[in-house]
Amino acid sequence: MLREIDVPRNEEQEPLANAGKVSGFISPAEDYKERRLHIVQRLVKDPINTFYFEAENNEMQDYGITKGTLLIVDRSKMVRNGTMIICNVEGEWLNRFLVKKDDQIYLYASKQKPPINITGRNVEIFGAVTWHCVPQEKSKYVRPGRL
Amino acid sequence: MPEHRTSPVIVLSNNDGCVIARSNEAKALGIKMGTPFFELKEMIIEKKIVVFSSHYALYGDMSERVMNNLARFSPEVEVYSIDECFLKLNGFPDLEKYMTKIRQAIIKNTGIPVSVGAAPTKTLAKLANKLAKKGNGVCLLDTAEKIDLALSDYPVEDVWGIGRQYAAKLITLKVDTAEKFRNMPIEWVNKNMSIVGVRLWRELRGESCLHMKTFFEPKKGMCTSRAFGKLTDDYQELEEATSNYASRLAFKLRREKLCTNVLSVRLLTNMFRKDLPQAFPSITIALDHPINNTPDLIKAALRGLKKIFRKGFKFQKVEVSATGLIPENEVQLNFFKPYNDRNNKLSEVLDNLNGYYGKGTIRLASEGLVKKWDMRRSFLTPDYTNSWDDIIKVK
Repeated sequence: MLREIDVPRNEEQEPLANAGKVSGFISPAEDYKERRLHIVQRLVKDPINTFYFEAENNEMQDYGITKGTLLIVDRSKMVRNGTMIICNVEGEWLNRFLVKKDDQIYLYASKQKPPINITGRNVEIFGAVTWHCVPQEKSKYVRPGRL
Repeated sequence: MPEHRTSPVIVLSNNDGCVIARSNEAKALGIKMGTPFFELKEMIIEKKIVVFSSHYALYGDMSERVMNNLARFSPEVEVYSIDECFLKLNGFPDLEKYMTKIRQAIIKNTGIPVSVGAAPTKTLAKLANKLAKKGNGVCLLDTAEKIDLALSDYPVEDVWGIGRQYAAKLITLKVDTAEKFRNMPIEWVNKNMSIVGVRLWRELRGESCLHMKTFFEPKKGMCTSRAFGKLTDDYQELEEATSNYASRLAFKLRREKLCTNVLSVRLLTNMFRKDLPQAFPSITIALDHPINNTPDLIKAALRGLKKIFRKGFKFQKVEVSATGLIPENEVQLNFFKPYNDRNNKLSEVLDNLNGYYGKGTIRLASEGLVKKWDMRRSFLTPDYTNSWDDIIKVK
């Protein structure tokens, strides 16, 4: 039932299956081997409840989110006053801050623009944004192979 | 998508043939399960019904997300189907509260609405679930009084495991509720409804007969078949489709580490087209050696196809199935014929390349390049959770 996640190694980038295995003098590092860091360990706490979105414009650039930024949403996280969220307002997907004040609910994007009052409107909060990743290169390449 | 929340929504079967899922709004319009799509065309425009093709890659992923969330709530879990799951809740205090917690967690974490029913047996739990669906999403049948009340007006045909035939038989005998069925004498059930019926009868009385299946029994048979996007009498197209299905079958066999002894190929015309001549030729081929490699399986399947193909019939479907499955590591060699395992190595390479670069990157030429016969899926949603190109863009 569980998804197979064991994708084969990317042999071009990682030609050696076991680079620590030596034929001559035994590696002094062998007993100290640890798991190499992987960015996913930090970015995705709860893989089965994590979803990805992409910023389409620079509306949230005050907070470092520019066009093409990858947004990581963990639906299991609590959405509170002041949380950055992904929501759907009457069919439109938005990335905003959720602000509650005096029984009124607002979506807030930048210091220049006034917040939108969404109280009573048809709004669906998808979840809390936990990280955003801003690419510094244009390439949309998706690396195949094992993590 | 939230914008469809209040619209009638229907999902079509593979090939956009008929309705296989309906939102409550679509149900309210009187659309029945299995209604052919073409019959609804006018209504769709008139009532602004939202139509989707089946997208099993997406549904499969969402299902796995739901099931994993559920599995966090109990040490014993049986995933029963893409949208049903049993959890053992023995020993948990305050079940009603726990069930509400489960339901809320699933809805919050996945956005998939679920209903939770709990009772002393699986059959009663299914019944409770159905009642939960009609109520507030949670239904606990933990006492004899609650169970009695629930069974008293529960239609017998909706009891889990009572098929259409048994239901008809029971109803003619005026046994139309679950309670009346439960009150039938055991001798009658035993005589008229086989062991399956007896189990259900006992389960309705709170005696657990269907246990949690937490391991998988080895498969006995495997089949790949899908209807084509259009009817075809073209031999080459049939060859390509057969190769494709044989190839997929081979892949599934390898994934489960099984080999097959016997291969069957079957062609089917569309039996609803009364205006066309009908034929359902099939052949079963005993293989010299148990195999699961793609080239040999395709070769065998095509040999079968050649034997059964008949001119003048418009075929809608080809089925390639394997029976007599044995584990890969228990294969016996043929005493009379040598076996060359070259193609096994080839298949391994195939699997590695396809696993790495994506399905269908490398395939046999007989599978064809353009799938003219491929499934029709005109109303497909994006692959939101499985493809980086399809993730939602936000403003």
